[in-house]
Amino acid sequence: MIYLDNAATTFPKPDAVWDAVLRCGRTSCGNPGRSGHPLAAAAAREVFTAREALAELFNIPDSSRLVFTCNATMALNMAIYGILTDGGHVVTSSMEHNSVMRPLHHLQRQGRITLTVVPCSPRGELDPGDVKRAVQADTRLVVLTHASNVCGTILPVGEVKQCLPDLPLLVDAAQTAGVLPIDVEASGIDMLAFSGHKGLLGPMGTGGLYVAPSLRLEPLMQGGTGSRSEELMQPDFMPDALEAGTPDVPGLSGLHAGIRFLQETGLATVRAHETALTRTLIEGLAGHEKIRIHGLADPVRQTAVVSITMDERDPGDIARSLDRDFGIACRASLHCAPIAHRTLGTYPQGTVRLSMNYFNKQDDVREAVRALQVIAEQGEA
Amino acid sequence: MKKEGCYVLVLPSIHHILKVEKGAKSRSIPMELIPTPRQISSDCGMAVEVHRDNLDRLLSMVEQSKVPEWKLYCREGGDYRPVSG
Repeated sequence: MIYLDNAATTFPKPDAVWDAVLRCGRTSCGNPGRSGHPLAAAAAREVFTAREALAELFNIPDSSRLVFTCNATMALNMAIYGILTDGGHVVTSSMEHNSVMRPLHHLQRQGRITLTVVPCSPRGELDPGDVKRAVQADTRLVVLTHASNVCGTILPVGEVKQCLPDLPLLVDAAQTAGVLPIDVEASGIDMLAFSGHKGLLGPMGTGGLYVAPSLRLEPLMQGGTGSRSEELMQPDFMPDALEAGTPDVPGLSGLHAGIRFLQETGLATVRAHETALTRTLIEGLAGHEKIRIHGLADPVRQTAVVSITMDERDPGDIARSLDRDFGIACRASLHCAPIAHRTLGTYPQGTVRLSMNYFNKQDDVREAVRALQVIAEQGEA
Repeated sequence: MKKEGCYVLVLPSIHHILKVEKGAKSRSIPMELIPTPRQISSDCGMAVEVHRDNLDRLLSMVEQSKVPEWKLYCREGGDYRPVSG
């Protein structure tokens, strides 16, 4: 099988990731922070070192400001519900994933917030000036994806922050953590939500949220933290304030191994390889009269995610043919981002999305190009 | 290990304990993580033990770090006396 569904979850992971999960489960799996015995201490070290590694990766000065979650969706919900307790106006883009749009839509329907969705171009580009113009006196939050999960277009989150230095900016880095350099300190990002099982190469069930020291979030969940057990109030200090319940210690050990792999390989090396794969795919498909590439079709300004359509053909049928006839795994349809498809002009049929990672070879992409050309020539099945 | 003349530092959570341990190691300040003595309340189960000779350096490092709060105890006559910060 040629796996080109890495925007959903990366596969394969480095062997070191699964080795770390097993090693942790077999040797270091007490409950962290709850006891003083060696297994609890070993588990606490697994969590601590993973947190420190992520803080280093994102240039977060105080690692206690980074909390672990089950995934990026949980992190985004924690950030959105946690900061908007008093309501207000929110600005977001028309390229967002449902993990941003659904919580915002829910709050809007309940009358708790008002929402402005800034339109992006039909290639997914966002003008920072449009975000600035959307801001009102009662705006409390700006939420932006760092890169589209549909077409890979990278959004100018740093420029938006420069335009609006005093407004909290929440960045959805589900598609970019471990893929693009992210410097929280330099960019001024106030909250960063990320997935552990995509670009960071960790196991599913891992993710996290960075919260700037200037912000205090109302916790989405309360519960055991191993600290201040005599009190019924959730602790107000980080990371415990936002980390109730036992964490996925083996998963975080695996995530740490994924980060180590990225740091040893070099983020720039990973990015260069993925850019080269994206270029091969785009150049191989560009100009074909029946194939349309959506988004920028520029490997430098997008992640290794390419969305295509063929005339009026059902993307699901194309994906099925890629799987059945060529052994190529990809994802079709709306990719949990209907608003982004409306922006790109691909709603409601969606697209066929091909997404690469560091472990793909050029031959994988050439085979995908060949397969799509054959399918295009075949016409309707 | 319960040494007379040693100090025990209690921190809010295991994250802060390990942060202090990392900072102490990087500055070559001798200290040890111990299961929290039963006379002292600390939920996370662990505390930092430090000899009086290294106490000032350790506390100076803790004060510069992002630890939100801490408590210090001195072991005397088999018991632990709180020391005001």
